[in-house]
Amino acid sequence: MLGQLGLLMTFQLMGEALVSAAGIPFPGSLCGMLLLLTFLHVRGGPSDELTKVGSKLIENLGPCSYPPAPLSSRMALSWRLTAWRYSHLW
Amino acid sequence: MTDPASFLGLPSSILWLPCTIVLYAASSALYRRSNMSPLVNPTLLTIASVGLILICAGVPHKAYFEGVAILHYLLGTAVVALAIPLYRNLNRLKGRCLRMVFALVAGSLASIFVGLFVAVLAHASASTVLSLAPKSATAAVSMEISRLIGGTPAVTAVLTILTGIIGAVGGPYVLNAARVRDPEARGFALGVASHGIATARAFCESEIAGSFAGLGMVLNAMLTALVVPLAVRLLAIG
Repeated sequence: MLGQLGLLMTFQLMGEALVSAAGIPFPGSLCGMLLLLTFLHVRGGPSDELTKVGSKLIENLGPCSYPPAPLSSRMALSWRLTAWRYSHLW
Repeated sequence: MTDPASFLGLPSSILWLPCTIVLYAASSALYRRSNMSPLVNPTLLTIASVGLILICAGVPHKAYFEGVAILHYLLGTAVVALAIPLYRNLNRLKGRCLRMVFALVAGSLASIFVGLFVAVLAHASASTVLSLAPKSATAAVSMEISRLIGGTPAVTAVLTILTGIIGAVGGPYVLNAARVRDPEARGFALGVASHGIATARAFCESEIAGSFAGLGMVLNAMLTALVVPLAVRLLAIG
Protein backbone atom coordinates (compact mmCIF):
# COMPACT_ATOMS: atom_id res chain seq x y z
CA MET A 1 0.00 0.00 0.00
CA LEU A 2 2.78 2.43 0.91
CA GLY A 3 4.61 1.71 -2.34
CA GLN A 4 1.51 2.65 -4.35
CA LEU A 5 0.91 5.76 -2.27
CA GLY A 6 4.57 6.68 -2.81
CA LEU A 7 4.14 6.20 -6.56
CA LEU A 8 1.09 8.51 -6.60
CA MET A 9 2.93 11.14 -4.56
CA THR A 10 5.96 10.87 -6.85
CA PHE A 11 3.74 11.67 -9.83
CA GLN A 12 2.18 14.53 -7.84
CA LEU A 13 5.66 15.92 -7.18
CA MET A 14 6.75 15.44 -10.82
CA GLY A 15 3.62 17.28 -11.97
CA GLU A 16 4.28 20.19 -9.61
CA ALA A 17 7.96 20.32 -10.61
CA LEU A 18 7.25 20.16 -14.34
CA VAL A 19 4.61 22.92 -14.24
CA SER A 20 6.82 25.11 -12.09
CA ALA A 21 9.89 24.56 -14.30
CA ALA A 22 7.95 25.25 -17.50
CA GLY A 23 6.27 28.29 -15.94
CA ILE A 24 2.90 27.43 -17.50
CA PRO A 25 -0.36 28.39 -15.76
CA PHE A 26 -1.59 24.82 -15.25
CA PRO A 27 -2.34 23.02 -11.95
CA GLY A 28 0.53 20.72 -10.86
CA SER A 29 -1.67 17.89 -9.54
CA LEU A 30 -3.54 17.75 -12.84
CA CYS A 31 -0.22 17.60 -14.70
CA GLY A 32 0.77 14.73 -12.36
CA MET A 33 -2.52 13.00 -13.25
CA LEU A 34 -1.71 13.26 -16.98
CA LEU A 35 1.83 11.94 -16.36
CA LEU A 36 0.38 8.95 -14.46
CA LEU A 37 -2.12 8.38 -17.28
CA THR A 38 0.77 8.27 -19.77
CA PHE A 39 2.69 5.93 -17.46
CA LEU A 40 -0.34 3.60 -17.21
CA HIS A 41 -0.75 3.65 -20.99
CA VAL A 42 2.93 2.74 -21.53
CA ARG A 43 2.81 0.01 -18.87
CA GLY A 44 -0.47 -1.41 -20.16
CA GLY A 45 -2.64 -0.63 -17.16
CA PRO A 46 -2.48 -0.27 -13.38
CA SER A 47 -1.66 -3.22 -11.08
CA ASP A 48 -4.50 -4.56 -8.93
CA GLU A 49 -2.85 -3.12 -5.84
CA LEU A 50 -2.56 0.36 -7.41
CA THR A 51 -6.22 0.24 -8.45
CA LYS A 52 -7.20 -0.71 -4.90
CA VAL A 53 -5.14 2.04 -3.25
CA GLY A 54 -6.29 4.60 -5.85
CA SER A 55 -10.00 3.88 -5.40
CA LYS A 56 -9.68 3.89 -1.59
CA LEU A 57 -7.96 7.27 -1.84
CA ILE A 58 -10.60 8.74 -4.17
CA GLU A 59 -13.68 7.32 -2.43
CA ASN A 60 -12.68 7.73 1.23
CA LEU A 61 -9.79 10.12 1.71
CA GLY A 62 -10.83 12.30 -1.25
CA PRO A 63 -14.08 13.66 0.23
CA CYS A 64 -12.49 13.70 3.70
CA SER A 65 -9.71 16.02 2.50
CA TYR A 66 -12.08 18.82 1.45
CA PRO A 67 -12.76 20.39 4.89
CA PRO A 68 -9.26 21.88 5.56
CA ALA A 69 -9.33 24.37 2.66
CA PRO A 70 -12.62 26.17 3.45
CA LEU A 71 -12.20 25.91 7.22
CA SER A 72 -8.78 27.54 7.22
CA SER A 73 -9.54 30.26 4.67
CA ARG A 74 -9.53 33.94 5.45
CA MET A 75 -13.24 34.21 4.58
CA ALA A 76 -14.10 31.53 7.14
CA LEU A 77 -11.77 33.25 9.57
CA SER A 78 -13.56 36.59 9.35
CA TRP A 79 -16.87 34.79 9.82
CA ARG A 80 -15.42 33.00 12.84
CA LEU A 81 -14.00 36.24 14.23
CA THR A 82 -17.45 37.82 14.01
CA ALA A 83 -18.92 34.86 15.86
CA TRP A 84 -16.09 35.12 18.39
CA ARG A 85 -16.71 38.82 18.92
CA TYR A 86 -20.34 38.15 19.82
CA SER A 87 -19.61 34.95 21.71
CA HIS A 88 -20.26 36.65 25.07
CA LEU A 89 -23.93 36.80 24.05
CA TRP A 90 -24.38 33.03 24.17
CA MET B 1 -13.47 29.46 26.09
CA THR B 2 -9.91 28.58 25.28
CA ASP B 3 -8.35 26.11 22.93
CA PRO B 4 -9.31 22.61 24.13
CA ALA B 5 -5.82 21.22 23.47
CA SER B 6 -4.17 23.74 25.79
CA PHE B 7 -6.01 22.22 28.77
CA LEU B 8 -4.13 19.00 28.16
CA GLY B 9 -0.83 20.82 27.70
CA LEU B 10 -0.70 19.80 24.03
CA PRO B 11 0.16 22.00 21.02
CA SER B 12 -3.09 23.26 19.49
CA SER B 13 -2.50 21.79 16.05
CA ILE B 14 -2.27 18.17 17.30
CA LEU B 15 -6.02 18.00 17.88
CA TRP B 16 -7.41 18.83 14.45
CA LEU B 17 -6.38 15.89 12.26
CA PRO B 18 -8.03 13.25 14.49
CA CYS B 19 -10.96 15.61 15.11
CA THR B 20 -11.60 16.10 11.36
CA ILE B 21 -11.19 12.41 10.50
CA VAL B 22 -13.35 11.14 13.39
CA LEU B 23 -16.10 13.63 12.56
CA TYR B 24 -15.91 12.63 8.89
CA ALA B 25 -16.23 8.95 9.84
CA ALA B 26 -19.20 9.77 12.10
CA SER B 27 -20.81 11.86 9.33
CA SER B 28 -20.35 8.96 6.87
CA ALA B 29 -21.98 6.55 9.33
CA LEU B 30 -24.92 8.94 9.71
CA TYR B 31 -25.11 9.26 5.91
CA ARG B 32 -25.30 5.46 5.49
CA ARG B 33 -27.92 5.20 8.23
CA SER B 34 -30.08 7.81 6.45
CA ASN B 35 -30.13 5.47 3.40
CA MET B 36 -27.70 7.85 1.69
CA SER B 37 -30.10 10.77 1.52
CA PRO B 38 -28.40 13.56 -0.46
CA LEU B 39 -29.40 15.99 2.30
CA VAL B 40 -27.16 14.25 4.86
CA ASN B 41 -24.00 15.01 2.89
CA PRO B 42 -20.94 13.83 4.91
CA THR B 43 -18.60 16.60 3.66
CA LEU B 44 -21.17 19.25 4.60
CA LEU B 45 -21.71 17.70 8.05
CA THR B 46 -17.95 17.51 8.66
CA ILE B 47 -17.37 21.14 7.70
CA ALA B 48 -20.33 22.31 9.79
CA SER B 49 -19.37 20.31 12.89
CA VAL B 50 -15.62 21.06 12.75
CA GLY B 51 -16.44 24.70 12.01
CA LEU B 52 -18.71 24.89 15.04
CA ILE B 53 -15.98 23.48 17.29
CA LEU B 54 -13.44 25.96 15.86
CA ILE B 55 -15.82 28.87 16.49
CA CYS B 56 -16.66 27.80 20.03
CA ALA B 57 -13.01 27.19 20.90
CA GLY B 58 -11.83 30.37 19.11
CA VAL B 59 -9.09 28.50 17.28
CA PRO B 60 -7.01 30.62 14.86
CA HIS B 61 -7.15 29.31 11.27
CA LYS B 62 -3.38 28.86 11.16
CA ALA B 63 -3.42 26.41 14.09
CA TYR B 64 -6.16 24.42 12.40
CA PHE B 65 -4.38 24.35 9.06
CA GLU B 66 -1.06 23.28 10.60
CA GLY B 67 -2.84 20.27 12.06
CA VAL B 68 -4.59 19.19 8.86
CA ALA B 69 -1.93 20.13 6.29
CA ILE B 70 -1.37 16.42 5.50
CA LEU B 71 -5.06 15.99 4.69
CA HIS B 72 -4.91 19.05 2.43
CA TYR B 73 -1.87 17.59 0.65
CA LEU B 74 -3.83 14.38 -0.03
CA LEU B 75 -6.39 16.43 -1.95
CA GLY B 76 -3.74 16.76 -4.69
CA THR B 77 -2.77 13.07 -4.41
CA ALA B 78 -6.41 12.08 -4.95
CA VAL B 79 -6.42 14.17 -8.16
CA VAL B 80 -3.34 12.23 -9.40
CA ALA B 81 -5.07 8.93 -8.48
CA LEU B 82 -7.98 9.86 -10.79
CA ALA B 83 -5.76 8.71 -13.69
CA ILE B 84 -6.53 5.10 -12.66
CA PRO B 85 -10.36 5.13 -13.08
CA LEU B 86 -9.89 7.39 -16.11
CA TYR B 87 -7.57 4.81 -17.75
CA ARG B 88 -9.92 1.94 -16.88
CA ASN B 89 -12.99 3.71 -18.26
CA LEU B 90 -11.47 5.15 -21.42
CA ASN B 91 -13.01 2.30 -23.47
CA ARG B 92 -16.48 3.32 -22.25
CA LEU B 93 -16.04 6.59 -24.09
CA LYS B 94 -16.27 4.75 -27.44
CA GLY B 95 -19.57 5.44 -29.16
CA ARG B 96 -20.40 8.16 -26.64
CA CYS B 97 -17.48 10.43 -27.36
CA LEU B 98 -19.30 13.16 -29.26
CA ARG B 99 -22.23 13.38 -26.85
CA MET B 100 -19.91 13.49 -23.86
CA VAL B 101 -17.69 16.18 -25.37
CA PHE B 102 -20.83 18.24 -26.02
CA ALA B 103 -22.07 17.72 -22.44
CA LEU B 104 -18.64 18.53 -21.03
CA VAL B 105 -18.20 21.75 -23.02
CA ALA B 106 -21.76 22.88 -22.23
CA GLY B 107 -21.47 22.09 -18.52
CA SER B 108 -18.01 23.51 -18.09
CA LEU B 109 -18.59 26.76 -19.97
CA ALA B 110 -21.99 27.27 -18.30
CA SER B 111 -20.52 27.02 -14.81
CA ILE B 112 -17.60 29.32 -15.64
CA PHE B 113 -19.53 32.04 -17.48
CA VAL B 114 -22.76 32.06 -15.44
CA GLY B 115 -20.60 32.57 -12.34
CA LEU B 116 -18.53 35.29 -14.06
CA PHE B 117 -21.51 37.24 -15.39
CA VAL B 118 -23.52 37.09 -12.18
CA ALA B 119 -20.48 38.38 -10.27
CA VAL B 120 -19.91 41.17 -12.81
CA LEU B 121 -23.62 42.13 -12.70
CA ALA B 122 -23.46 42.23 -8.91
CA HIS B 123 -20.47 44.62 -9.16
CA ALA B 124 -18.20 42.21 -7.31
CA SER B 125 -14.55 43.22 -6.99
CA ALA B 126 -12.12 41.90 -9.64
CA SER B 127 -10.53 39.61 -7.09
CA THR B 128 -13.92 38.03 -6.26
CA VAL B 129 -14.76 37.58 -9.96
CA LEU B 130 -11.39 35.87 -10.54
CA SER B 131 -11.88 33.67 -7.47
CA LEU B 132 -15.32 32.63 -8.71
CA ALA B 133 -14.38 31.58 -12.26
CA PRO B 134 -12.75 28.15 -11.56
CA LYS B 135 -15.24 27.04 -8.86
CA SER B 136 -16.54 23.93 -10.66
CA ALA B 137 -13.09 22.29 -10.93
CA THR B 138 -12.01 20.09 -8.04
CA ALA B 139 -10.59 22.00 -5.04
CA ALA B 140 -6.88 21.24 -5.56
CA VAL B 141 -7.18 22.42 -9.17
CA SER B 142 -9.53 25.39 -8.67
CA MET B 143 -7.34 26.89 -5.91
CA GLU B 144 -4.31 26.54 -8.17
CA ILE B 145 -6.09 28.18 -11.13
CA SER B 146 -7.27 30.98 -8.83
CA ARG B 147 -3.69 31.62 -7.66
CA LEU B 148 -2.40 31.61 -11.25
CA ILE B 149 -4.94 34.18 -12.53
CA GLY B 150 -4.62 36.49 -9.52
CA GLY B 151 -7.69 35.45 -7.53
CA THR B 152 -7.73 34.57 -3.83
CA PRO B 153 -7.28 30.76 -3.44
CA ALA B 154 -8.92 30.76 0.03
CA VAL B 155 -12.09 32.37 -1.34
CA THR B 156 -12.05 29.93 -4.27
CA ALA B 157 -11.77 27.06 -1.77
CA VAL B 158 -14.95 28.16 -0.02
CA LEU B 159 -16.79 28.70 -3.32
CA THR B 160 -15.59 25.35 -4.69
CA ILE B 161 -16.78 23.44 -1.64
CA LEU B 162 -20.13 25.28 -1.79
CA THR B 163 -20.46 24.36 -5.48
CA GLY B 164 -19.67 20.73 -4.65
CA ILE B 165 -22.15 20.58 -1.78
CA ILE B 166 -24.96 22.31 -3.70
CA GLY B 167 -24.43 19.89 -6.61
CA ALA B 168 -24.18 16.81 -4.41
CA VAL B 169 -27.24 17.74 -2.34
CA GLY B 170 -29.47 19.28 -5.03
CA GLY B 171 -28.14 17.56 -8.17
CA PRO B 172 -29.88 14.19 -7.66
CA TYR B 173 -33.24 15.94 -7.20
CA VAL B 174 -32.73 18.08 -10.33
CA LEU B 175 -31.79 14.97 -12.33
CA ASN B 176 -34.87 13.13 -11.01
CA ALA B 177 -37.13 16.05 -11.94
CA ALA B 178 -35.58 16.14 -15.43
CA ARG B 179 -36.14 12.33 -15.65
CA VAL B 180 -32.48 11.59 -16.30
CA ARG B 181 -32.27 7.89 -15.31
CA ASP B 182 -29.27 6.71 -17.29
CA PRO B 183 -26.49 6.17 -14.67
CA GLU B 184 -23.77 7.27 -17.12
CA ALA B 185 -25.54 10.59 -17.77
CA ARG B 186 -26.36 11.20 -14.08
CA GLY B 187 -22.78 10.52 -12.99
CA PHE B 188 -21.22 12.62 -15.75
CA ALA B 189 -23.50 15.58 -14.98
CA LEU B 190 -22.70 15.43 -11.25
CA GLY B 191 -18.94 15.16 -11.89
CA VAL B 192 -18.76 18.03 -14.40
CA ALA B 193 -20.88 20.44 -12.33
CA SER B 194 -19.78 19.63 -8.79
CA HIS B 195 -16.43 17.75 -8.82
CA GLY B 196 -15.33 15.33 -6.08
CA ILE B 197 -18.06 15.90 -3.51
CA ALA B 198 -20.74 15.01 -6.08
CA THR B 199 -18.53 12.17 -7.41
CA ALA B 200 -18.56 10.62 -3.93
CA ARG B 201 -22.34 10.99 -4.05
CA ALA B 202 -22.52 9.38 -7.53
CA PHE B 203 -20.53 6.36 -6.29
CA CYS B 204 -23.35 5.84 -3.76
CA GLU B 205 -25.89 5.62 -6.61
CA SER B 206 -23.89 3.06 -8.59
CA GLU B 207 -20.36 2.10 -9.61
CA ILE B 208 -21.02 3.20 -13.22
CA ALA B 209 -22.42 6.58 -12.15
CA GLY B 210 -19.34 7.03 -9.94
CA SER B 211 -16.86 6.20 -12.71
CA PHE B 212 -18.57 8.60 -15.08
CA ALA B 213 -18.65 11.28 -12.40
CA GLY B 214 -14.89 10.78 -11.91
CA LEU B 215 -14.44 11.07 -15.67
CA GLY B 216 -16.56 14.25 -15.76
CA MET B 217 -14.60 15.74 -12.86
CA VAL B 218 -11.18 15.12 -14.48
CA LEU B 219 -12.24 16.35 -17.91
CA ASN B 220 -13.87 19.45 -16.43
CA ALA B 221 -10.78 20.17 -14.33
CA MET B 222 -8.64 20.07 -17.48
CA LEU B 223 -11.03 22.17 -19.56
CA THR B 224 -11.42 24.72 -16.74
CA ALA B 225 -7.62 24.95 -16.34
CA LEU B 226 -7.36 25.73 -20.07
CA VAL B 227 -10.42 27.97 -20.51
CA VAL B 228 -10.38 30.16 -17.38
CA PRO B 229 -6.94 31.83 -17.87
CA LEU B 230 -7.85 32.40 -21.55
CA ALA B 231 -11.32 33.83 -20.73
CA VAL B 232 -9.86 36.13 -18.09
CA ARG B 233 -7.33 37.46 -20.59
CA LEU B 234 -9.93 37.91 -23.37
CA LEU B 235 -12.48 39.60 -21.12
CA ALA B 236 -9.71 41.68 -19.54
CA ILE B 237 -10.85 41.08 -15.96
CA GLY B 238 -8.48 41.93 -13.17
